[in-house]
Amino acid sequence: MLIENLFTLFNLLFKMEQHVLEKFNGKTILITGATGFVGGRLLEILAENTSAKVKVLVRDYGKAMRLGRYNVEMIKGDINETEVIEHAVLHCDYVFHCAYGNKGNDETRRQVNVDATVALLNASRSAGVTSFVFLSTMSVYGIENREWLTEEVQERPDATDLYAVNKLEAERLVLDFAQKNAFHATVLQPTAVYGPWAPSFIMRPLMNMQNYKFPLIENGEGVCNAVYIDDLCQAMLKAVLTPIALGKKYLINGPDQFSWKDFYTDLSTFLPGTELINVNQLEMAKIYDSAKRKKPILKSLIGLFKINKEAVRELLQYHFFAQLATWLYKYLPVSVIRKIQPLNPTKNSDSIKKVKKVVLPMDQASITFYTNKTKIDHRKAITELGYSPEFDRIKGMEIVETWTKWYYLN
Amino acid sequence: MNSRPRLAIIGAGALTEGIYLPVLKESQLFDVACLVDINTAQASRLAEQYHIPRVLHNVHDIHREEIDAALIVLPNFLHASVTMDLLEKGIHVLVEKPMANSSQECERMNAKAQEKGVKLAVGLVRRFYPTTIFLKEAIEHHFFGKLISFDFEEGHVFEWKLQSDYLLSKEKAGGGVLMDTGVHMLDQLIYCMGVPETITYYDDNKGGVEADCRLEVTMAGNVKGKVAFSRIRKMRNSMILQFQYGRIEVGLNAHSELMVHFSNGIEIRNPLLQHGKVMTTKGAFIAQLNDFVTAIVSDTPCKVSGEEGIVSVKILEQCYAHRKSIHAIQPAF
Repeated sequence: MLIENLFTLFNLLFKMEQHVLEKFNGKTILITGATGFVGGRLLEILAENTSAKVKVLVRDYGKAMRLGRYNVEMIKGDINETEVIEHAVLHCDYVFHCAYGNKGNDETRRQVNVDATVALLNASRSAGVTSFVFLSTMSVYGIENREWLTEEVQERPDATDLYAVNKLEAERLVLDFAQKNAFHATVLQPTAVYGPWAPSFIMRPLMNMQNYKFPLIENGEGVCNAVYIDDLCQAMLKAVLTPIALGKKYLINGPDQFSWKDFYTDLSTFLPGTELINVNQLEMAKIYDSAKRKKPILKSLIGLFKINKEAVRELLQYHFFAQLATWLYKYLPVSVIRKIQPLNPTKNSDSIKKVKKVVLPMDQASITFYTNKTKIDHRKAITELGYSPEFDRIKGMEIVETWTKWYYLN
Repeated sequence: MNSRPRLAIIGAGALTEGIYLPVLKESQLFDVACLVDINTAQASRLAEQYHIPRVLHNVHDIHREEIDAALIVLPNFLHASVTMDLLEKGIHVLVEKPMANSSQECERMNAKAQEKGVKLAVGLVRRFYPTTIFLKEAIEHHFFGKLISFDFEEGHVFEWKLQSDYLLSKEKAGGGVLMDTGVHMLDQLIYCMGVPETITYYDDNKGGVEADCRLEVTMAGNVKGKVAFSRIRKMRNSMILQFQYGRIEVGLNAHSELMVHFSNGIEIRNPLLQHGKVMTTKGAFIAQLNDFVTAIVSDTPCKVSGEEGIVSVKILEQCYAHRKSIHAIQPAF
């Protein structure tokens, strides 16, 4: 790509009114979840566009390689430890709470997602923090077909969706805390957040598109309510600066409307070897049932290897295991190869057998999600926060395409 | 000196536990006399497992009468000071890469080793890989004609669990991915082709340490090449060399296959054997230790002496001193 084009691209990366960014100069800001997708990008924006002092809470330094490029204060510790969060919020003006626990049993996850949020709120108020943003999700409303979704709709998360259930419980506590204590805490409810490094809507689908026939349910005509990461960050920054946002929640969506077919068709063109397929709901239910019945022992074994990627990599250091892996790729049945393909240690090896792809199974919750046609009304954020989304699908996906080629194809 | 030199291992971290202790046990090249670490619980656990008679908390407790040689497996910023202490006592030292965080420190270390008449070796283990040895020969003796260009890449998404911020600290690690991972490949480059004539270095550091970087290099004879490292994305992980009559590609492991592609479509793809065997990672570390012990016992030069170790450190310094933003040449995220 021509250098001039690159500069054009980087100018697109983050656009926000200069007078808004200037308000963060000299401020001290805590970001939780900064080793994750949203927190990490927010940190980059603050570090590159303001002179704010940014503090981040880090559980494992091994996950902080991207953050390590910036001059930020890393505080080692667990968000469940009171002393850690009391230290973290000290002298902070703003707190952006993006951390989310998705490991452990239900109770452990609740401790991270709900209990730690309350503790962080209390610590922030005691330390004199000016404003606090809690990153929630539109999933708290559940999925019901209606024309428009606004913040006035009654929340009814899917009871099996622990992510949404925890987020709803936490956001209610945040809003209640804000009202009772006149403390500037705001809840943001983004739609599907996408952009470089997005795990759920970019990286996982790309991997699935390479390993499976990626299904567009009912021709992908469901509404894709998606927001580009930098637009969400813009809303977060504006939320802490807007006094009337105290104790309020805001849906945050992108500027344009499009379908999942539009979104995933774009994505599928960014890498070679991807495949999309139209599947109706009934067919998908059958595919899912059939996949569920297959070989749980093999699945568990593969799951074990996936969890212990480090161990696998270590083993592959040894010639015997490297040879064994090569042999396995040549002679194992196609169905098994497909499962272990993501562990493929030789990215560019042409010795790997080309496998016939099957359709990626999706459960009922995913079918419902991908066929829903509800649109998001985020006028409240536009009116009250001054939220002004800049990245339509074409702009957002242009950056995703460049990132995908940089990340996967070097 | 006893039949086997008495060795002190300084540092009881992951590399000691995962590589050096098993390799020392298997090779029996040294008599491991003590393990030193401020984390005495970790050191004691390993000492018990490997039947090491002594655990020390501090390197100052090491005495020349009890120890002949030391293996330093510590964070980079401690390499120079600990090496100097041990050399001063007349103890031979094998220090892990990079030799130190600055060339000034390296020079002091080399001067001290010379003054005391002891060996100073640097743990640049890839020098012992058959692939490295083969590449050097292929370039020097024009196995495939003259070298025209090269393209080296090494990158993984970093996934190790880290308890300390050591690798993210400029002061402690001396730099980011270039210092940590890159020093191995730079050493291979220098070993095979000599010191680069020009280097243009780009990275993504924005006040911390770099996670993604790229060097554009010109070697003697106007041979141009690219070297890239990352700890945030997976790269090709191989060295490609374009010669007059064919293209060679080798992976980065001790056991990696050699692939030769000739312009007429003929290909060779085989592991390289040394003494009839494919070398493992452990085998390479054993070769490194064997070289060190031979140098001590026979008073011969080490394969990777301090004089050699300093060269890659000077290149690292040059890169950091003249760094350019990677945004200038490629997307950076």
